[in-house]
Amino acid sequence: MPRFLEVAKLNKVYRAADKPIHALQDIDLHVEEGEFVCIVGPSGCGKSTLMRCMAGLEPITGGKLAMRGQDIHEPPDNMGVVFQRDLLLEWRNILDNVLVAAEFHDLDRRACVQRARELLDLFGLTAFSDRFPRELSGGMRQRVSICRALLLDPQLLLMDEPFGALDPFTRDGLNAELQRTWLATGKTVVFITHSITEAVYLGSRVVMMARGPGRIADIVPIDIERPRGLEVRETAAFAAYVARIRDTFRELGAYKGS
Amino acid sequence: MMKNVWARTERSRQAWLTIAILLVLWEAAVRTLGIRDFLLPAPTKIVREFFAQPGYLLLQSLDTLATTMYGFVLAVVLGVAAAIGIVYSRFLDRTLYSLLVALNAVPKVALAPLFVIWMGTGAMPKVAIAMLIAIFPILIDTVLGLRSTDPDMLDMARVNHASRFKMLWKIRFPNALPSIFAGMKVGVSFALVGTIVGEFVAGESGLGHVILVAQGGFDTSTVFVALALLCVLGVVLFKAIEVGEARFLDWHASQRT
Repeated sequence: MPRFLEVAKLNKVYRAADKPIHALQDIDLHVEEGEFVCIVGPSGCGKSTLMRCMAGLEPITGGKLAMRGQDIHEPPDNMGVVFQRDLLLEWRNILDNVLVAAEFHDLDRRACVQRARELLDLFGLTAFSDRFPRELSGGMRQRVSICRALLLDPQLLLMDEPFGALDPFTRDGLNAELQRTWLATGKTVVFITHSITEAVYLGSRVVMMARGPGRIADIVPIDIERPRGLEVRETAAFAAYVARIRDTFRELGAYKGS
Repeated sequence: MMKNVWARTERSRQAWLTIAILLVLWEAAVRTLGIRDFLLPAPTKIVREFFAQPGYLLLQSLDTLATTMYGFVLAVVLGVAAAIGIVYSRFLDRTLYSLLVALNAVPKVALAPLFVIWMGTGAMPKVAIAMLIAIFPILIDTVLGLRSTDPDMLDMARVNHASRFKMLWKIRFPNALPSIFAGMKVGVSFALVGTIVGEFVAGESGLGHVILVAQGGFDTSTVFVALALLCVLGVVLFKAIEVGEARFLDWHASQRT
């Protein structure tokens, strides 16, 4: 039985003008089905590059990268991606923005309308389905992009700092909503962030990455009971995880020279 | 409600008022200074000149309008198609685009006599000149618009297995629409210039022809009538593009006031 997502000795080198840039070095990471894996690290540690490789948007230089035993060369089926920016199409209303995923996949739109409406309902956006993106706040726009990524019910959801640009209140709300959705659907999620708190709150495991070259520094399993309310962040156990991760980053020099 | 209409029309009222004041000054100057008609006819004289032969003048206007529209529509179709080719093919980018940019440096008006030699004096050379002048701003702006698509947007389409055609039609093209409309606004005015140049050299009909004939007879009033009609045509064409823009770009920041 192949692993759900297998990353072994993955290397990614960019050819630059003067000398090659080692963006990712010997990444080993196995993700089991149904896991919520958070990848946290400072800017430039290659976490976004790793996600782009997993999404099939970036070819790898060496090593192994496979989903269910299938090497990833191009965007795999059964995968949804939420990007840093919501990337909504300004000329389409909210419902059509969600349905664009079906149109790109050459699926019958009508067959997906029901599902799209359910997702919008789940994220509290029903009242906005025929509004346009410009009429929505940043948090609502990012919710729409999550609906779009979930439309075709993918098994794997990749999220690249999706809440990085949102204010703390909206971010808290979306963190709680995301956890609820994950618990209800059992999807596998790989979530990239540079917030340690967010990573510990959401993750079953937190993968710490360091830079120069981009590599995995440590993997910390988070053993806190679900569902986690937002108040879990005030507990001693939570604080201990955060402190441990922060200490490791400090030892790695992540807080210097940036 | 009345107040609302009054407030909304403030800009156009100011424009009309400015034009009216200029016309009154013109009329007054011509009358008090006793300027002769063949140098500068008064506005009232120009209006009377129009009503002396309204049918003929409107017919010639329609002729010019039709030629301009043919040239412009051809320029949009060919310009957008060429731009898509240039954006998607490195070969076309290096050959066709470089060639067109070089050709753009030639004053295209100077090519008009050549078209008459090739195509005779019918509508063809006029449409060709109008098209040739109008196509450049449309092509260049469309290339720019298609190229300035957000790469993340295309990644979003790629992870959803979008075909190249769908990326073009559902992402790149709508993204380029604001640029395409900007190019069309310039292009439509250029097409009118091309048509008049064509009518100057290929003769036989249209407002350009009217101007040329009137000039031969020192009939300055008729020249001014034709100029006024051209002005109306130019404004109507430009406004038509703006209406299309407001209709198709209601989502774009440029359309919000």
